[in-house]
Amino acid sequence: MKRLKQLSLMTWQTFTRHISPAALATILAALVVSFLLFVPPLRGLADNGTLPQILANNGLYRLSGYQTTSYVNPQLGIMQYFNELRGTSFTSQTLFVQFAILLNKLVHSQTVFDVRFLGLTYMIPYLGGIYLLTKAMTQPFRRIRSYFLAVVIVFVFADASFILSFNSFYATPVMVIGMLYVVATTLIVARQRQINWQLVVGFFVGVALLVTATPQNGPLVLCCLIASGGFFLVVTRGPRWLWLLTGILLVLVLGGLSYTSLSSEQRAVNRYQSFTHGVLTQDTDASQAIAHSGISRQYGLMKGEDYYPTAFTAKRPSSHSVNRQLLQRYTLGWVSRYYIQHPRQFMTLLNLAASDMMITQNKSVGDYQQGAGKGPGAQVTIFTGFSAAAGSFFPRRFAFNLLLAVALLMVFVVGVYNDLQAQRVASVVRFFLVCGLLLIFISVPVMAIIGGGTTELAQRLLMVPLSIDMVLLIFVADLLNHRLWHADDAETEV
Amino acid sequence: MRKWWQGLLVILSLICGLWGGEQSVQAATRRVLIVYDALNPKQQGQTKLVAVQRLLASAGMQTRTEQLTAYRAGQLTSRRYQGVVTLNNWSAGHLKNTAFIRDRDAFTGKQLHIGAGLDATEASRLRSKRVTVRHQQFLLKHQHNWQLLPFSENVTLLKPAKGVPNFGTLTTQQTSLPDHPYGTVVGNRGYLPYLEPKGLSLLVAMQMIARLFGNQQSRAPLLTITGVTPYSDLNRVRQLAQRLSAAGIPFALSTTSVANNTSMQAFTRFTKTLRFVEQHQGVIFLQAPVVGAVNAQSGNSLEQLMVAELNQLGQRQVIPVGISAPAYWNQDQILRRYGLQRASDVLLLPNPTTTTFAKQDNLGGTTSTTWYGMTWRSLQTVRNGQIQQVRPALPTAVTVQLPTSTKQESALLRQLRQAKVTWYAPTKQMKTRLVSASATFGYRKGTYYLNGSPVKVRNRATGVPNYHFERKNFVALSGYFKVQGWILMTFFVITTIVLGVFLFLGRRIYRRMFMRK
Repeated sequence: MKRLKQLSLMTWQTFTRHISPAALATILAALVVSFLLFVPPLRGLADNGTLPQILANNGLYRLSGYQTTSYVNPQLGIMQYFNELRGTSFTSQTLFVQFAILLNKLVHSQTVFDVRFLGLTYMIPYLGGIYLLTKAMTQPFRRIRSYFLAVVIVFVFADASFILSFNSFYATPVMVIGMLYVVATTLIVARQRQINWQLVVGFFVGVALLVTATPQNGPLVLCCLIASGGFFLVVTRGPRWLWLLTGILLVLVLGGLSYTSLSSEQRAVNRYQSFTHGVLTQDTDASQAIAHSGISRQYGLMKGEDYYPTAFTAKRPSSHSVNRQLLQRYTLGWVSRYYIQHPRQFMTLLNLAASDMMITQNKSVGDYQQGAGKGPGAQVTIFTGFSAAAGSFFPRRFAFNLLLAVALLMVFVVGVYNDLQAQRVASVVRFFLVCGLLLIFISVPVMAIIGGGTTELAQRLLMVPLSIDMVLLIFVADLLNHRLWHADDAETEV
Repeated sequence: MRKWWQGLLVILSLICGLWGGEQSVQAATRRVLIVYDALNPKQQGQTKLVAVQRLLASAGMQTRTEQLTAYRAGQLTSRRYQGVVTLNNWSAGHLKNTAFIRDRDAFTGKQLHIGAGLDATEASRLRSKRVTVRHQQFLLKHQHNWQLLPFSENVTLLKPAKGVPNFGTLTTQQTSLPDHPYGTVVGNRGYLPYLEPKGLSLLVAMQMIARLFGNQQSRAPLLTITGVTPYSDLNRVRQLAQRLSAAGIPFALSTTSVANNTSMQAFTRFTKTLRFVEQHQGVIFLQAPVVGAVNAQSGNSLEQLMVAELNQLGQRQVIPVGISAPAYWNQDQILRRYGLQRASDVLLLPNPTTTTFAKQDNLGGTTSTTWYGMTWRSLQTVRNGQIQQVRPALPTAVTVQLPTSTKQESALLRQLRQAKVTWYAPTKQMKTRLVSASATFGYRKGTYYLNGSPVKVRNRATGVPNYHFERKNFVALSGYFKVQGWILMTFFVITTIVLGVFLFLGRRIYRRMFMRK
């Protein structure tokens, strides 16, 4: 019995000596991701109707038999001649797609693009992010709880709801990867005596990826800047502040460019949907609610209409008069004033957003390719444990989110107080990061409701589950590592 | 054995009956075949084709449109078609289909040739000689009106023959060139050197087609205000109706409507305005909705939408006299069947820039009155201001856009007053019928009918149940959940305060343990 115990202890020691928690997480994540993306049948996310534009921007085209919503398209054509749409969109996703096309051309084919190359292109930086994040949350320990934490990280971030989008052209993977790097680098920087400039660059690259993933993410650059506030405490010498400021300025510009890169048509769509699926959604007479507000009350009759009408409509939303009489008057100021005057309606909409936000799996489109023996729109059920649990158990009230944010801030502020007393900065940097993430958590639903109403709400709220997952993970990790209330003395070097 | 004979007899008689029935049906619904060579968008060939389709629809003819290259030999027979229209849009193309020419030469029904490419056989049957004129600008004269036509490169005209009725005269500034007829009709054959689908040229072509196809319904044009939607400036609609009524101008209003959200006050205002129009010598045409993403399966949803719109309006004593739609609706199986064919009066408007078909079949239908919608502005090309003398030979609606400013409105009214046109007065002449799924709307010389009984149009709608938005449905236990929420909230607040106090006290005690006194 004693020998058995000794043997198991020895095995454990050998295991911990050779495999760190970060390595374990990376291996596990690699296994899960490879299984989901590369083991036949091909899995991914089908086109919901928004992808052709992204394809065209990247010099790809739909081959005959292209499927929408029900099945994933494993292959696409690579345009051979001049493409007038190339480079007309400002998004970091283009970088990944172009790299994948290059890889495809080198290895596979000059004319046909296999989406698995895109999956591979996303997977490599993703695994790096997982490695860094686990390292940031477990270092320097190799205890059982560290390995437990590694498994939890894989459970959360290797969820199929995130991974499936790697084999498609949605912006989700870019946001996931960006988020991993932003949080991991900040946490590691927080615990170092000397600032590691590679990590700071990593942070800014992560932020740049995040804010340029989609135009809606542009304003989030402000939240990310708050998250980077702690860096000024780590960098103590004046001239180096300049470098930091340059980085901040750069991502600010990127965020602004990203936000303004929306086409005027897309802007009109957003405004229209925000009006018909936001302002007008109420139990009372919508036409009376908007009377005497500068917009004709007759437009209340547009409640529930879509910018691209599914069948028939009384007036084309893209017509000149709708643009002049409705969309031009429907400004940010108008919406804000309206929601301030109608707080109950706004709260109802926010609650709707709160109930949608943890549903990260896009169930409106199919996950398999045609001929894989699955029905149209069939969903992957394996490795969806976390998204399913979070989707069903997370409370569906916006007020709860507010309370949660306040409670978490209060918890983390204790560490700040203690660390400042002890003249250490780790908890302060962490606090800034948590502040930024919680600001995303609270502000994205508000921006989503104002910016587009309830249209495609779950997909536009993706940053919300990402940020709250991160904050809760930081919380659990610090709890397990006993550094929630103050920085520990075991400081680390990467 | 006898039974066997009887059986055979029955079958034979059945087959004969079917055959005979089919024959008579075919005879009743013989169409007019329109064959065009090319769309030639550079010269508005599409508009010309649509104009021909609409003119024939207004003349009460069902049509089938076929492109020349798609024409199959043996298609054009007198048994199947009562007429054929050859539309040549692209003279430089010289597109030919010998099978079509052979079939057309053998065809005995009505024939109309529009545009270039009139061949010798056709000319000889028109008992005229062809004259080819190059690089000329013509002036079309008709009675006392005239219209300057666009510069033409290459036109085939007919030398006037004696005893041949002609429609309009083409003259040039060159004195060497004698006048030529514009429209020519000889027996059941006709020729138009070209078609300019606006103004006097169109009115003359209309007269000629009406004569050729033997369906002259000369009547005054109906003034129609278009571009009205539930989102329009309703005060302007009201004001325009009032001013038109005061000027003694009867008119029609073509408006779209909505099927949803009809319990809103905005819809009440909208229908109230339409009732105001009805009370001021105006009639309402329900305009077909804008087509978004549709396919061959959209028939049901269109039917539901139209019925819902009609019923919502009818409930509020807004009784449309007909349906108005862009002309392409008449060339689409789904849109025509579920949209247009419920009405006795259909107003076909010019096509929008983009046309979305559900199931295009190019089989133009017809209703008892198909109004040809032409814009007021296109009539402004008729010089001499004598438009009242041109009485359209087919039912014509002259459309004006709803003005967007007071200035525009005054200008429009001034123009209408100065034009001195005798407008078609629905209150004196119009008789219509419109079927919604469960209801029949009627209009007869100023009186509205709903399911056969006359309807009095009042200022306020009668018989509409008032919808109360504010009244909430009773939900059991909702009070309980509210109270529970408050209790929980209070509990949490108190706990937090107590914890905060303890934290503060505990910290003080802890510090004191190490502080020197």
